[in-house]
Amino acid sequence: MGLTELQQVNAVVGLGMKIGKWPSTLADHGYTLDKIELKFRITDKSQPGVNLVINPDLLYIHEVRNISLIIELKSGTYQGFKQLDGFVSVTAIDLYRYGRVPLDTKVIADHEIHVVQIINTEFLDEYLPEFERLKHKACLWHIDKDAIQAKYGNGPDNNLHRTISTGVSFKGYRIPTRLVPALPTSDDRHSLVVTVVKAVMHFWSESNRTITPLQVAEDQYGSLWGLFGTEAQSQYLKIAEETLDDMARCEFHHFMRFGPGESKWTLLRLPNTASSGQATKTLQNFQTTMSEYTQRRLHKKKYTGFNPSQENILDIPGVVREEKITRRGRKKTTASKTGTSIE
Amino acid sequence: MNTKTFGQIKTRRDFLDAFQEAMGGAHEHLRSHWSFDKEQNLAKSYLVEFHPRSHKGKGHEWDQNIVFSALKNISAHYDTRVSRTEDPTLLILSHEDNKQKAEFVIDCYDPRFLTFHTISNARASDNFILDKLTQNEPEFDRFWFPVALLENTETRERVTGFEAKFDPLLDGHHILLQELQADQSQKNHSNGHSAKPRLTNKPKLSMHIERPDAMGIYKDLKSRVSDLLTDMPLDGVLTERSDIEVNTYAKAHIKSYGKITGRGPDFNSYLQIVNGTLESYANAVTRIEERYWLKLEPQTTDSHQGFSITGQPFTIQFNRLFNMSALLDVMFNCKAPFRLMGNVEQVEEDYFAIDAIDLHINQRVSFEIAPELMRIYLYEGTCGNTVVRILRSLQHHIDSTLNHPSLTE
Repeated sequence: MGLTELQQVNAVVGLGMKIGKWPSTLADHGYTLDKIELKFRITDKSQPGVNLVINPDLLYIHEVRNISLIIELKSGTYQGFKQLDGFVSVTAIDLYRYGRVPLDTKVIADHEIHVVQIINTEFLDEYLPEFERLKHKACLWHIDKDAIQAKYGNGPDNNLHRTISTGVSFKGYRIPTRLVPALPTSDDRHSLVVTVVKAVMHFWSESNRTITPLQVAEDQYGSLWGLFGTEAQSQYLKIAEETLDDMARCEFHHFMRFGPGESKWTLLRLPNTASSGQATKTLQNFQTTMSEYTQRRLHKKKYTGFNPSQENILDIPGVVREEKITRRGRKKTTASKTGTSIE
Repeated sequence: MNTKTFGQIKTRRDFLDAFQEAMGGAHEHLRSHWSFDKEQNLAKSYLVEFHPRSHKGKGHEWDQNIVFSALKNISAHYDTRVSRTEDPTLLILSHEDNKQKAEFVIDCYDPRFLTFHTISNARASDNFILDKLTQNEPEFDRFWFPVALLENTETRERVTGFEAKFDPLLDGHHILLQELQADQSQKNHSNGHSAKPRLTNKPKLSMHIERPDAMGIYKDLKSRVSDLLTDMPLDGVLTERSDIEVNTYAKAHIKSYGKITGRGPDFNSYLQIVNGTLESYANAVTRIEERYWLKLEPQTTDSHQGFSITGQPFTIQFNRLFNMSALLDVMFNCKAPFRLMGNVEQVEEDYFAIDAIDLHINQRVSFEIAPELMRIYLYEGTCGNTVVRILRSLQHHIDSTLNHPSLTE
């Protein structure tokens, strides 16, 4: 199975850093990561009066060699070149003027832009023929858990091209996974669900009594939250709401309840309410529940445990209470059958 | 010293006089009678890191009033009284539990790195600081000295003794990495079967040596770590500081969990040892935050938006291989010494990523753990104290021979 887009981002961001047990190929070649999720508009030269949104995943700069490296990551199958065509039409002045990329204006005329699409190795057979057929100006690199390698195009930096063409092996290395978090703009639903679980863990450990989807977002993204577009924000809030709801109905029903009419979830069995002898046990129970929940969501399994939204255990199909029927009980049964009350 | 005397401390001068009198008196009594007088105790200082819950920002800009308010708030949970002095950087705190009374003069000149000085009975003062304040209150955490920071003491003080302590949490699951590599190469050469890597049980260690050349002996023993002496992490150092002009001195016993005990006739010299230790630790923690705080910073204007990333993970490399499942069980079980609660994600067969909460301070921290390495991701706002505490716990309970980035440069 290939890397998720979040794993791809972390792997390539890691190549631009010097961290233990991960190659620093881009950093070694003089590249520094300038921006993640850069978004700006340029004039679409093919359509009068229309702007083109440029939104690459990563932008690296090589100050000495006066090169920008625009990277677009794709974890899925071939979906066309619409985005990539936009990137290859970007000029150095566009980067400077609209993207606010800190280029040296004295040498901006000589600035070169290297556009690279990085895909999962398993989809190479889909992408490569298309790149070759259209003789695309962008380069194609592929990545998996074992290596990253250039497969098409060469770009302005021969040294980097040589290194990547030979392939950078990841054998003996450990892929970094926590450099860049899952952002609300991400399509990786499971990673976003995990951010909600992390926020609940944080709120609960601090013994906060309630939590809302907005608080989840602010906990995970802090001051960055306001910068995401309305669409990304509402997508994330919807996922947060669904996840909180699912948690409270399923594994977390001991620790969470939905407050009807308040649009917030009450957190229960908080660490500061546990007796000193029970505190560690309560924390461990929460941790186990968290693990069970995330594993079930990861494997997209259905929850089969107790569902608190059912009014009582007798509502679960197949469960029958066996007990003596008392006189009062008999009266109650008769009353409920006839729709009257005994109170 | 009685309560009244503590109540009389209004200025730094009063504080120095009172503690000088107590420390000098105890020293004299000890010299002449080989014992302390009634209610006479050694001077002790507890080094405590404070991070107010209300503070969510990047820096650590809060003042002594916030320290006072936080201590005032906890007085509801414990039988504690806190009061101000004329000096805004000095507070007085008294605590009573089971008829044991502990009184502290709190030096909050640096409102983040505090010193709780006391001459109360050690049982009473330990009970409040170690078992209550820093155990139950996430705003307060002890200083945790990894081996490198204790070793660094010799650059400031004369070291006359050391303690080494190792209490293994993983038994029989480790082998020396070099042994495995040697086995592997032997296997390659012979193209056949090699002996299985040997499992060794880690011995528990407790060592206390007092000698003028203590650090020399410590380094010698450390360099000869073997099957017999697999781990020898420094747990405490005995230091001495004297005054050349005035014939006086003080000794201090610095423990790896942030407690310092003083002896000798000169409180001023003792205080210099304490303050030097505090500054060295504060610098290390601040440096960790500057270098390793991982943050996404918005780069936004009207025409564009994007994020830049700063910081990097703190990478520890082990010299031994562990049973990963046992290591994860020990680290993420919500119990001491690590006190971490986390959500474990399996990245590869023997590689795990964990999003955790440091239960000492209820702040977020993430890990990547493989048999040969551990990356600690310290997110912006999470105290650098977390890294040094984890490092110390790993050295004292898992592998004292691990390698980590420098804490002092």
